[in-house]
Amino acid sequence: MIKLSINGAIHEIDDPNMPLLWAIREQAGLTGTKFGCGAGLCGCCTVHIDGEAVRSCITPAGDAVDKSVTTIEGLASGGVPHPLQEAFVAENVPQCGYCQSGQIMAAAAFLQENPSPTDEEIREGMGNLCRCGTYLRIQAAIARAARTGTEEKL
Amino acid sequence: MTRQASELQNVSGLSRRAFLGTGISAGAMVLTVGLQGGALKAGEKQASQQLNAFVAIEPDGTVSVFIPFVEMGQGVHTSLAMLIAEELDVPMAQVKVKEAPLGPEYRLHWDGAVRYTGSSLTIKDGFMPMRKAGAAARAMLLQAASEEWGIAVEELLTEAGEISHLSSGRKAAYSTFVTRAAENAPPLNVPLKKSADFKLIGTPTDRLDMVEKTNGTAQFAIDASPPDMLVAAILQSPVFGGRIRALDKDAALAMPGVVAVEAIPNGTSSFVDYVLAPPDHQPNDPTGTVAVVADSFWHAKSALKEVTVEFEGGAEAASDQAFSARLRSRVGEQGVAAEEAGDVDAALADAAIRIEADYEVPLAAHMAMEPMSCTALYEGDRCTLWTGHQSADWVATVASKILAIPTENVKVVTPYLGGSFGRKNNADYVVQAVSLAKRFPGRPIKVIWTREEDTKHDFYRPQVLGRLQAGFDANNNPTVFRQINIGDGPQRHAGFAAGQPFDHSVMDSSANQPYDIPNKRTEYLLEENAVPLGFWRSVGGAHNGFFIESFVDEMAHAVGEDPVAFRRRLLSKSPRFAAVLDKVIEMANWRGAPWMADDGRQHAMGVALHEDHYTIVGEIAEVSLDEYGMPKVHKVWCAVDCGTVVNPSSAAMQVESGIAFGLSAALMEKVEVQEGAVVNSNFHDYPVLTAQEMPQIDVAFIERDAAPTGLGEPATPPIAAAVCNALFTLTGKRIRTLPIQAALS
Ligand code: FES
Ligand code: FES
Repeated sequence: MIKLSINGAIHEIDDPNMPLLWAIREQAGLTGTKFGCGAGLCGCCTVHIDGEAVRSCITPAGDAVDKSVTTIEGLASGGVPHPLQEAFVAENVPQCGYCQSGQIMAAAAFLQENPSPTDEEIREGMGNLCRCGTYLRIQAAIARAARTGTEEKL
Repeated sequence: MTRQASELQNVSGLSRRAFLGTGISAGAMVLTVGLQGGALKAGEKQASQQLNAFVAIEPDGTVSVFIPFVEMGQGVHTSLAMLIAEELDVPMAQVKVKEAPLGPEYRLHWDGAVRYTGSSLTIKDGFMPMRKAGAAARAMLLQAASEEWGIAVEELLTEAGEISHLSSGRKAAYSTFVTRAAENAPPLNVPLKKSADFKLIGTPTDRLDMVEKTNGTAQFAIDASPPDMLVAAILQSPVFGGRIRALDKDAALAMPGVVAVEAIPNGTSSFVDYVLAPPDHQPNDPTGTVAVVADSFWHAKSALKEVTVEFEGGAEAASDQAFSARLRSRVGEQGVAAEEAGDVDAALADAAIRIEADYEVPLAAHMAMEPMSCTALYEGDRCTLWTGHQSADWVATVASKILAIPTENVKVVTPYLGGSFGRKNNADYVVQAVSLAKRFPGRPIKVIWTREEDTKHDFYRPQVLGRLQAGFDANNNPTVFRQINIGDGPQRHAGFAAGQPFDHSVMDSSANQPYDIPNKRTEYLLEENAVPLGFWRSVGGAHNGFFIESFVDEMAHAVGEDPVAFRRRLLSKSPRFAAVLDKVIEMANWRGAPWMADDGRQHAMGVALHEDHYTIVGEIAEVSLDEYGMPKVHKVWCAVDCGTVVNPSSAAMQVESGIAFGLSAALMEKVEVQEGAVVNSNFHDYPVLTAQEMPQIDVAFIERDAAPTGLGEPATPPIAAAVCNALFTLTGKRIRTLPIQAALS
């Protein structure tokens, strides 16, 4: 039995070897994080551990002990959506929507590293799959969120 | 699947009741009781009032719209709600989408025979019923206001969910009148708005599902979690159609959280053995799947590794390579004509110039991002399903057959689908979940497939070979076109093609293409494939768009003409096609020869023009080769004629998505089958298009005041040909077998 901090709440997890994905979905009951491949290939399961994007399907839950896990449900702060969430809505990004939690979590970590990316850097920086082909709108939304972020800082 | 209506009606015996043929018939109205559980009786205060099968008004003024189509990314929940809101005069902010329950009034396809989401039919077949439902509800509210106020209906106005009377200054919300309205008889033949008066239709409108799909609250089938649920992980016979010979459960049963290890049917024959089967039919569905049932998926999946199982039988000889050889061995034969004009054989014999080419597409998988999942609860003589599907009626029929209960006792809860692209027409995973639920009455059981199961047990885009032939007279005018498609298709596999001369899913969109060539024949030749075949986004268009539009390019080059000019001169009798081609030429600023681009590489354009699911699409792709000699698609211009565009915003999304899906398959997708089993297993050995490979896309719709046609699929067929045609201009090499990357390496 281990304890994990997920979105600021403490959850008890049976088994440190269980992938973080299933700890989040089945033990913490947070289903916004998705299962797409189970092999680190698609990015649907992307969450943050201490602000860094990880593919939770291949990350043992034990790796997050004493760290802070953020999932899509915890990305907004104090009820205010993250600028990326607003940008994804504004650009009408999701189609089926299944990959989008992972896309947004990957994008959030990406913007943390590189707050004012070029279009080319956005294209190269996002490795999550979207079978609905929403890539162009994802790129537009990340660029929009980056602009918002830059404006807020100015 | 566009022409199987009669087949479906006959086989399934579904009601033919034409609910909306002449407006909303009184019989279909639900006047006193809401359709959803817990609804209140008419006349009770604070009740939600159902004005017709599609519209209810809540006490707070919210308009609930009951949608019988699934949302798998197309944006149709929003577009259909827009149609109702348009005629009802309510703002979209006031509209809430709910899932329509089962019932004949929700079968909107093929003369009221079928409820189903697919074949790019949702907007085409939903357009009038939704508008009529909105208009009828408005008329009922106006009638009620007229009675309440003692003012003639003609003097009343509706706007933004309110009824007003200008001269007296009276104004009240719809909810004020709804109880009275629900007591009135529903009107017949309510007039609809003229298109010039549309406020919503044709206006880019934000989708209703955007916020929940960006904050993790959107519910998908895989997220279902009714209380006391068990979860199952499954392993199917890797060989298609195999069955379990020996099963040792003991080690798995000793694993944490494990409740049971069960042998269950594969469900691959869900159409033939369940959906379409007559009542006394005994399923011939092999027990070839092991399910580990546990308290969580992680426990179930971990324990599955401990199961020792031997499978036997099935399609052990199936191989995609051997199938290809079989197809090629038959190219000289004659098939059944699906379309015929003139005398093709004589014209070919007389031609001054003749060309001929063989094209082939491989098996391809759907790879929807959400793996298959179904939760089933069997309790007493009732069943509840939580699952993604493309027809609530079909999955209810599956449950009713397995549990021997009437379909009325089945409740279907449909969360969002994490993609489908045709995959979830087949209800194999529903068969599996219901078979398990039957053994654990009272406990919901959720089946979740791994990606490996999803890859290895899809219903694949068929492997088809096309031989195409053309002839020209001495003046370079094409006189004859012949196409024969050899292979097998999903319509025959699903049992819809019985008694038909040919399988439409192999031939659709080979017929009715626009070029004015006097002698023409398209033929179908069946070569049975033991690999399960399915409806894959654009179905017949997926291979026919590639075959025909590549070959038309070959025809242009054979007579030394620019591919655009050549097509253009054959379109004199097809003005809609000509308009689409002209539009896309203008958008792309067409160049028939390669050029040196700013990135220091040679670029070239290729064009393709194709009608699929009643919609005409023209695409031009700009392509170069990278340092490894692999194609890079920089940009795609796309012009579309789909009649009226309901929501231009989500319509463009569907076109982008259709191009991405087709491009992914064209460039890199191929399912390999050896000894009856799929070799590929996950995204590492079945790669799909990534962000880096996604081209820029420009979409334009031809403005035309006509009934809408489909959009989910028609953008997919032309892209493979557009890219291959560009590559021919760039390199002089003609690609006739997909995927392109394999053909070039
Ligand atoms: S589910 Fe984790 S990367 Fe695909
Ligand atoms: S939106 Fe469907 S997979 Fe990305």
